[in-house]
Amino acid sequence: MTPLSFSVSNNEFQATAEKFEEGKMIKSLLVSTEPIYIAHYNSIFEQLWDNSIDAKDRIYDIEEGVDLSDIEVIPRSGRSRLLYLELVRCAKQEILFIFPTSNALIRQEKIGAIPLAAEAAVKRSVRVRILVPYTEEVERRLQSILQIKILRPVYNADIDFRYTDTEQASGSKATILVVDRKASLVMELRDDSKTTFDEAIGLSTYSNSKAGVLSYVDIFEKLWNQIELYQQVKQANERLKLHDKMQQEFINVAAHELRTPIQPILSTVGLLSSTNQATVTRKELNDSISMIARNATRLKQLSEDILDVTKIESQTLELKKELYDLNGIIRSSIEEYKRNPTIKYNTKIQLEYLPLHSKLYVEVDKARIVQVIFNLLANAFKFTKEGNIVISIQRNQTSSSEALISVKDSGQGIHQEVFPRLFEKFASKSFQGTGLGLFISRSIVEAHGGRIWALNNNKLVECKRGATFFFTLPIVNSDLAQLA
Amino acid sequence: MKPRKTGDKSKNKSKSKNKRILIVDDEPDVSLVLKKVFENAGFAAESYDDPILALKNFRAASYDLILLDIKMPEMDGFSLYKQLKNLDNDAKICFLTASEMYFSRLRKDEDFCKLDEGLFIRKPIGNEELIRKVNALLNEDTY
Repeated sequence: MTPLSFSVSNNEFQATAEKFEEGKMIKSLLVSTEPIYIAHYNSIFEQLWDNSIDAKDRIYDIEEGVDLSDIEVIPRSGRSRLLYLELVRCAKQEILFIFPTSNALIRQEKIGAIPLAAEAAVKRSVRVRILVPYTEEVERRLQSILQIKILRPVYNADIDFRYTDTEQASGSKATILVVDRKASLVMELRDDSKTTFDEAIGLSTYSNSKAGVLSYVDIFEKLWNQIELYQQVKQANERLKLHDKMQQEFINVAAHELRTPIQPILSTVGLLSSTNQATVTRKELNDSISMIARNATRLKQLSEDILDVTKIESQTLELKKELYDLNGIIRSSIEEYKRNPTIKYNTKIQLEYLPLHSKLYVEVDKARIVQVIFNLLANAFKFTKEGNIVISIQRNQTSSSEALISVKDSGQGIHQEVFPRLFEKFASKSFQGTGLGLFISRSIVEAHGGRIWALNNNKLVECKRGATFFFTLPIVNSDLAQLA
Repeated sequence: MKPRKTGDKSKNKSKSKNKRILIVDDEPDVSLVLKKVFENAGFAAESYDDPILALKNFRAASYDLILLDIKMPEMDGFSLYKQLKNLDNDAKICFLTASEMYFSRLRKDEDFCKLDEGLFIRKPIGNEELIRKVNALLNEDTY
């Protein structure tokens, strides 16, 4: 800046200048009417005027107690790097980062800014939050930073990050650092292709002006929350898509399961009506009848399962509860199972029932509990080629107010892939069936206040084959049961 | 698709008589009843509910038409199709299916798009319509 005080009008320029000469301060006055000087100093004044602050605002700020701010433009990236690291190192409560590109994060990790922030989080309980565009490299580096949380859980390091839009979509061209809501450093990105911080960064602006810093905090918080909202919307959308896909899958599975039993019925009826009735032997007729009965029952069961699922999902499944001895219910279930025409009884499988010698009263909808046991038996038989299937009941050892019913088979066991979704809809790994049975069973058991689960037998006894399904039902106090 | 070689039986337009059909469907009731339907219509029919066994017992040039279910455990109809074609490139094979999903998904995944739509028969199908479609396939010179 020109080292003098001056005044200038349209046609005259005056200035005072000071200089040391032979140990004395010499003051001199310059006066000029030269139009070039006048125009030059006029333009200097205009420039200074434009870049200054209105004195009224400044007086108001001082009177209102607004802090005196310090704003500094730093042209050299080497200096901004030092200031950057110093700010992070001195953070006491909070560090906020907004990175314009993934490369920016990588460069700033290299100069040590992010490790310093992690250290601040671990050692001084500083809350660190990072906004950065997503790339796999960024994900990998941030995950390694988060390892700190896992390695030193005692410090309970508070480091969090969220991904802004993809790099292409982000218009931001500066790294923004805000420390303790008191200071901000905005580092302009000059060239993102450079590998070092010093080469990539252009002008930086440091500010501790309250209004300026809080604006950046505000920008940060808005982005931070926006991303969360966006994630929620995205997740909701994915849930809907999944639901849609499952619905579609169900329609397809159900279509296959509904059409398949129709073929034997349609063909058998066709054969019976086209052949000469007199030539049909008794055995052929019986075979035809059982073929039709078997497939019609299969259709009936499927249609009932579909209706049950609809009731469960619309929460209109009603239970007609009455008091029963559990032994009787198990016996009815086994009889019903054996009577069912869809079952081809496999003589290589022994079905054993281990009854309880005392009565165990439960208040249940009998038909529904029979349905659960029927489903468990049907599954056990479906996945067992030979061996035995054992049904047992007992008082639950861990909770004596519960009855524990188990169905144990010696079949192929439950596939790892299906296990986590076993009681969900369409979890079937089999080529027959809709995967509705266990979903319905779980809903029925839970509606009775019980629980249902399964284990592969090798979890209980090593080398054992097969699986065991368990469910519980609340027991009614036997005295009360006697009264009833 | 290649035209059938000369001297092939499909040139014979006389219906059903002595035509040999192989049926593979994992539902025992379906494979059994379809065997009866074909026998009743004058065909010589053989059926399997186990695709692996069907492949094991397969002999080239033994059938005029092979009907395969698509959705089967252990080996689906498309895999079986490829295996059978390896054993007998001239075999005439068509699919019987009850599910659009398995039909369209497998057809796409397995690159069976070039197969003619007429080679897919939807279940359930009435006896007369099935015999009519099968006869039409048998009377085609190319497939």
